[in-house]
Amino acid sequence: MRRFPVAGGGILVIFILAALFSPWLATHDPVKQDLANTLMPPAWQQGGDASHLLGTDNLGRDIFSRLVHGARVSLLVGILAVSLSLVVGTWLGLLAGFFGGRIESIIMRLTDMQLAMPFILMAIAIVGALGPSTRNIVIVLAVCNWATYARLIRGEVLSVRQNEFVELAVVNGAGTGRILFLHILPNVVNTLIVMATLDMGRMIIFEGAMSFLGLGVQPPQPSWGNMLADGRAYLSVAWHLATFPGLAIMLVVLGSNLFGDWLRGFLDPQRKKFLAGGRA
Amino acid sequence: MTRSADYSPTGPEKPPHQAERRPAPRAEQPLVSVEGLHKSFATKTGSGLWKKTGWVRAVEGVSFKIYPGETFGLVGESGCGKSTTGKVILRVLEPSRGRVLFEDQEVSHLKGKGLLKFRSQVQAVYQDPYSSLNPRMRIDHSVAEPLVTHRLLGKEARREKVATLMRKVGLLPEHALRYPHEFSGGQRQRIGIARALAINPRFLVLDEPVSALDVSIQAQILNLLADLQKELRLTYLFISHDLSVVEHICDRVAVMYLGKIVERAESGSLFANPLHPYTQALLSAVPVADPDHLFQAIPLEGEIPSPLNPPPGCRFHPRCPRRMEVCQEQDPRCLEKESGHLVYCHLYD
Amino acid sequence: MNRTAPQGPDPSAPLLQVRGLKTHFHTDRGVVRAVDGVSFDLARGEVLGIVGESGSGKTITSLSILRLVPGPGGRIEAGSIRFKGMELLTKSDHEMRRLRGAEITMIPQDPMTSLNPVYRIGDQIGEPLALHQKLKGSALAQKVLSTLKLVQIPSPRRRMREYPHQFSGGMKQRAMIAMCLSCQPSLIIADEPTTALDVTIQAQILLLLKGLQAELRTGIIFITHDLGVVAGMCDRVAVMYAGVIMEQADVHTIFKNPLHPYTQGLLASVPKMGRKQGRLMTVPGQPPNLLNLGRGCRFAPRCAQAEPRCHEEEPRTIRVSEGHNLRCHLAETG
Repeated sequence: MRRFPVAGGGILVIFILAALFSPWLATHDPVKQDLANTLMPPAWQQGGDASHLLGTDNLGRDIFSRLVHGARVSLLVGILAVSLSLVVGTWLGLLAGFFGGRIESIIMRLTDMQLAMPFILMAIAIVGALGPSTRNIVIVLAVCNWATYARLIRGEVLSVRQNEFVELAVVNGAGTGRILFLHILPNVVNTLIVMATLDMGRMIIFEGAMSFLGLGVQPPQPSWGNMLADGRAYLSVAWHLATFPGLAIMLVVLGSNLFGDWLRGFLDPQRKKFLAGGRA
Repeated sequence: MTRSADYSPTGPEKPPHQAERRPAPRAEQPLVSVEGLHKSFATKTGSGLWKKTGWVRAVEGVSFKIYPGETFGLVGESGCGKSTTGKVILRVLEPSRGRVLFEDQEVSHLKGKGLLKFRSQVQAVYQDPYSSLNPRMRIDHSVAEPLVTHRLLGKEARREKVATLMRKVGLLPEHALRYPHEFSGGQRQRIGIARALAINPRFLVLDEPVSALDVSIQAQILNLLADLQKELRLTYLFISHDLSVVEHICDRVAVMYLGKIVERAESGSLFANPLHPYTQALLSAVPVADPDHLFQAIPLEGEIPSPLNPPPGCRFHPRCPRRMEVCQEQDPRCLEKESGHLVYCHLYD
Repeated sequence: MNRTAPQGPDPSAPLLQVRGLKTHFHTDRGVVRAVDGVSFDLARGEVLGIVGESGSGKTITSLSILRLVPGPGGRIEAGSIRFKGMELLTKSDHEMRRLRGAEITMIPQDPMTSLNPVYRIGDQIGEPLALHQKLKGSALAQKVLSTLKLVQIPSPRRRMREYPHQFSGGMKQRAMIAMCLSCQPSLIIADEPTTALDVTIQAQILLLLKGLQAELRTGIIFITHDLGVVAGMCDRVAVMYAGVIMEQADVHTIFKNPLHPYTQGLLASVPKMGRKQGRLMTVPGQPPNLLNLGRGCRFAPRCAQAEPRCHEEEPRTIRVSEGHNLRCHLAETG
């Protein structure tokens, strides 16, 4: 296991920086149309131009600029969606795992229900009720994703509870709150972090799906998802419209997966095997 | 666990001296009193449509008193209920029936402030040094936890207290800034002991505190516990399955089998003259570290039955080499054979 | 386990001859010399006890004999292990597999996890028979039945068809022993076989093992930390510390006349029953960090009798008398 997450971290850093500095990086206004120069191929192809590095789309808008601005939306949505589902899911998982009994049953049935709901259906329902906007995309994604965290955390809590230090904390006079937040939570945080980084990728893909269906970010605001959607119609004549956003999604997902893998190894306290007192 | 033969080392250590035998102080008020304690757990047995709620009768009608300053031993094999008894006394569990009294006050159903006060007097050390400490918590925070939960001492005072405690248990105070995984098993047990002593309790429940340690480390920890008891005037409940350790450190001992006490006496009496057939079998089964010793374990038939379905009458009768008719039908009552030596067996009735 | 007139192990070629065994683990943090030069013999029908605490290397020694050193990073670096005259360290994987379960078997420590919960007991006990002796059908069932009877499991016909969770700890261990004995091995490695069992059950199992060993004349390497068990079961004892054997002798000598300070310390640390003592003698300090062993004798940091030489130079193993080996500088001066 490397010391530093070169591959995964590197990719993520590049995209995060791109998103942060998009107004400066973008070569053109992402929503400005230029109907004279529609469907221009990328600069290195015949017919391309250095001013439009990755070409233009069907309304003459610069693909590169739209990609860079779209990074903002996609990454923001990804981070917010993961955070929200993480907080809600972890909280419920903690309660379920720690208290057991009726509380656990109720929460677990709720997770069952959520996991059974098809994503698309939920997305349509919620956006239909609340209208499409970035905020609502985050809500949809969180609602459809919290159960995975709840399940996972509940399992971890059940395992951590077996440790003697939890019971000894009770003997020491610790109240429920202290036990949950100082004893149990820090010991499940590992799994949480890893899950969250891996989830980032998923959330971005789902955002893409939503935008693809017209439920997500509304035009002319670019997002990788709606760029994909627009580009689909032109695949036969202009491959670059859909390919670059698709590539971007793939790279970010890859990057966060690699980072998550590295993180799992980094946080694994498996150092104790053959140190002093280890069993031979 | 083993009994050593007659061996005297040639090392320059202090020679062993005869321990002061404290006679069981009967006139004194007991510090801890367990009266008719019962504890059962509900379990689901079977599967699917045939699920039934079974009751695991872990502790059935256990009574004893622990006097200030003594070390009371609770001995038995798996499923005997000794750990459960300890946990009920600690109020980690509530009794199903019966009472636990501490300093003459009933603690079985305490809550809130009263419970917190009780906890400041009664602490515990458990068996597994690898899971007794929160791996994500620094040692000094772990040791200081009882002080924090009881809202005692300011930050600075706490730090000093932690340093004192570390020194008391034989560790360097500088190491308090480390994490558990940097310590060995024996050191972790010491840290657990330091934590238990943080709020100056009067009574410690020690549940197999040395069973998971290497022999040489065991001896260190046992000596430490003995020293601390003398210095801080502590009372111990020592739960263990290791008879030689129990004989060494305990003043009085109760032997448990399948949820009940079968014999109770002063340590010397019990080991020199065990009355109950189970105690006799148990003692004979302990291997002796002497190749010339004739190992004659009194054979016991069969296995330890499940506490879900204990045998009727005397719980030990199916395996008892000296069982009689009456043993199958009636629970034996408590008989005092000599002063302080109690046995629950029809043979002596 | 009465000590009757010892019939003595077979004086001809030893069953097992281990010489200079070194098994090291290459980790990120350095090399852990878990077994660092271990030599001993085991005669046919003899019971050798290997005693040691955590980190002593006793388990890794037994795994090395079976060529089952856990990876990653674990490797037998040096030495020779001759079983019935054959060098085991040069055997192929295939050849080792023919030996394991048939000629050399192991009783593992934890009976709770050594049996596969989804297969019946009878099938698991029959596995080595099917693999090595190619038994099938009713012949196999008969053999399994007879081994179950050998280990005194009551109602063996019914028990054969049961699953591990229906067996208690002691019964599981008997089943493991049955599995080990089924092919009549010449060598059994018993790794703390009774540590996880209750005292009364342990007594039953030890009695059983002793009886079977005497009857079948199997050689046993008995790994344990319990000196009482050693005294009752073993003919000879090797005391291990930090990867090497500190002292090796027949059981009477070890208990009555131990020469190594560690052996003496171990014996003194154990509470003596029947006699009250104020304080237990202890061996101060902790077992060493195997990553960072330092120069002299491995036990020197904890040794009450250590001299300056002990911290500088590792002692060699010397033969103090017939069958009594010692690895200590003090022996040379007497």
